[in-house]
Amino acid sequence: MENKDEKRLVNKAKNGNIAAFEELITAHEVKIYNIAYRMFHNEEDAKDLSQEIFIKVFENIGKFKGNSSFSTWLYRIATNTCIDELRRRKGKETYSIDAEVETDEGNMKREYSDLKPNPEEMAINKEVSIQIQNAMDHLSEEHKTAIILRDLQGLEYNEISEILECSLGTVKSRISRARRQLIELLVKQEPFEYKHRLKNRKEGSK
Amino acid sequence: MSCEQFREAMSPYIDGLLEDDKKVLFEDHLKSCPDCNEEFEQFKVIMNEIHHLPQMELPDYYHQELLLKLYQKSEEKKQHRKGFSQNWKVFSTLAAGFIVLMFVLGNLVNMGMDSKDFATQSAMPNAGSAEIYNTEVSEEPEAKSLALTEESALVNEVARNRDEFLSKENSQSLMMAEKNTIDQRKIIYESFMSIEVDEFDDTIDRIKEMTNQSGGYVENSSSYIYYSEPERDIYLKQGTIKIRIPVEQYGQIQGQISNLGHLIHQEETSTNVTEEYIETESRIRMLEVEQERLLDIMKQAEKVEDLIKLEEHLNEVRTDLEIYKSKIKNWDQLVSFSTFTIEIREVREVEHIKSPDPNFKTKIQSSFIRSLNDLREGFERLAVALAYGIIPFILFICFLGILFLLGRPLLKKILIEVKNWREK
Repeated sequence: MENKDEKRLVNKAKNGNIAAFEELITAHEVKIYNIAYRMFHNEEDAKDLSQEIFIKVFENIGKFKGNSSFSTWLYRIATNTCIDELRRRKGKETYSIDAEVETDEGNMKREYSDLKPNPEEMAINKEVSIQIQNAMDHLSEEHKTAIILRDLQGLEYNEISEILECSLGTVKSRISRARRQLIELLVKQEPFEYKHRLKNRKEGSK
Repeated sequence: MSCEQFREAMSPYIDGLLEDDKKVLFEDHLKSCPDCNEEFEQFKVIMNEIHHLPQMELPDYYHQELLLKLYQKSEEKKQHRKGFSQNWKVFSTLAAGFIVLMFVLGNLVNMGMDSKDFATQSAMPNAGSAEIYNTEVSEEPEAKSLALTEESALVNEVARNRDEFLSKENSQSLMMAEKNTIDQRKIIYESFMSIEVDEFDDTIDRIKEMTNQSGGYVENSSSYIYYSEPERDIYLKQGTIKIRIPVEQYGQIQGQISNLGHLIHQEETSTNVTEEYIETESRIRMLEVEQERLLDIMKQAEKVEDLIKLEEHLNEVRTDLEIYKSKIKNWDQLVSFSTFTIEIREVREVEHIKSPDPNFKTKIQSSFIRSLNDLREGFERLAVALAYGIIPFILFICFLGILFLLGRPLLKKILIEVKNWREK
């Protein structure tokens, strides 16, 4: 979207013009929905949360000063809303039936045994993505956010530092740690099988 | 580079963030350490998998649902704002009342302190009248000779003006916030004029010409002969013509009409429909979204009953849509064309006894009702004013009471003195 165009739409939206706001967010709907999906790992929450995010954005658009781009601001609200919600739920243990995994915080061993994929889910592509998602569910909110923004949304480091409002160095180390932890989780799951299968896949594909 | 350092550097390495010297060290270690090499291979593979996690598609009707929610929110917001403005009105009224009270009290205290008893006594009714003035009953404060009263009236007026200004500013800023710009305001202008002319037909022709020139049109017109004297060939006509004029020409046409003859009566009204207009617009959008959604659902519906039900619902939505759309159309029309209703009456220099005005009775009736209403309003305002004034009044009574109690022995003494003096 053109910068000027965006500014015009933002100004209109500030005056309560819903049509302008609609135009402003249409391109971002899928992205925000996907962020929420990866954060909560179920479609129902993803829908509710992402729509809540857009409503929040609409209500607070008057506070958007244009210091950053609209998308940065939108991502910031999105990540903050998701993180808050995740933290809020932590104590409550409310899990949707749709969720593919049951988690039990605090007991690491049981956690991992729960993560074993069903034999029925052996369609490899699907399984890998489920395994990754399952592993991601066990990351801290901060690490999850880092992985989602960098590796799933493909944002640049400086964008991420703007969104999370922290320094580039912090972003770097956070992403690095998040990745390592994610991989550790994945590898520990099925130590040899996993590695072996991945290697085979890789050689086969190349 | 140690293996631990190597692990740390894997992430920035694949993102191309390592400085050149570190990059060399990293690559050296990669070649020399098979374990790390394997780990790095695995890291790359997994990262690749993560990068290729599928993007989820939006659920059905995601966008429509979101839009509906947004409309609901903005409606709520408006409601909230309205509530806020009403609260403000109440608040500003209370604040104005308080200010008035403070001034009145202040004046009373001043009077009590630095003037004599008689000044306080005579000032009291005037303070009352000043307050009536404040509540906008069109009544000049009497007894202007008393400087003190004038001052209090002035002060009250300042307070009143400020209140007006405040509430004006309030409503204006709210209006600005809601309607963002003035050009989006939807105001319907209507004007009623009554003129006396020498030549009825001539005037009608001129008005018609004027209307056509301005790009407007005549909505209706009627005329009749209200007075005739066949033996002298005098036929006097009276009639009404209603014209619609593009709103930009409103002022110009108004001036032209009043130049046509002797203007005897004029009334102007402007109705602001902005709020309803915007609300209706947003309702239309909401209904359109719903219609779209229903159509989508219909495409997927398989059962006949479902289809019939959906069709019924769709019809309802469509009917509503039509109603709102015609409302908008009507408003657009009313807003872009202002209405002039002109009453024209032909008169001759030599005035004969005229038949009574056919509207005479209704006019009397309406003016009677109006005067009753005015009176009622006046009383209401007076009551309010008295309610405002009751506290200073009570204070004044108390003051008098204290004065009386304190002064009674003195008075008695004086009376006795006078008696004695007379007897002497």
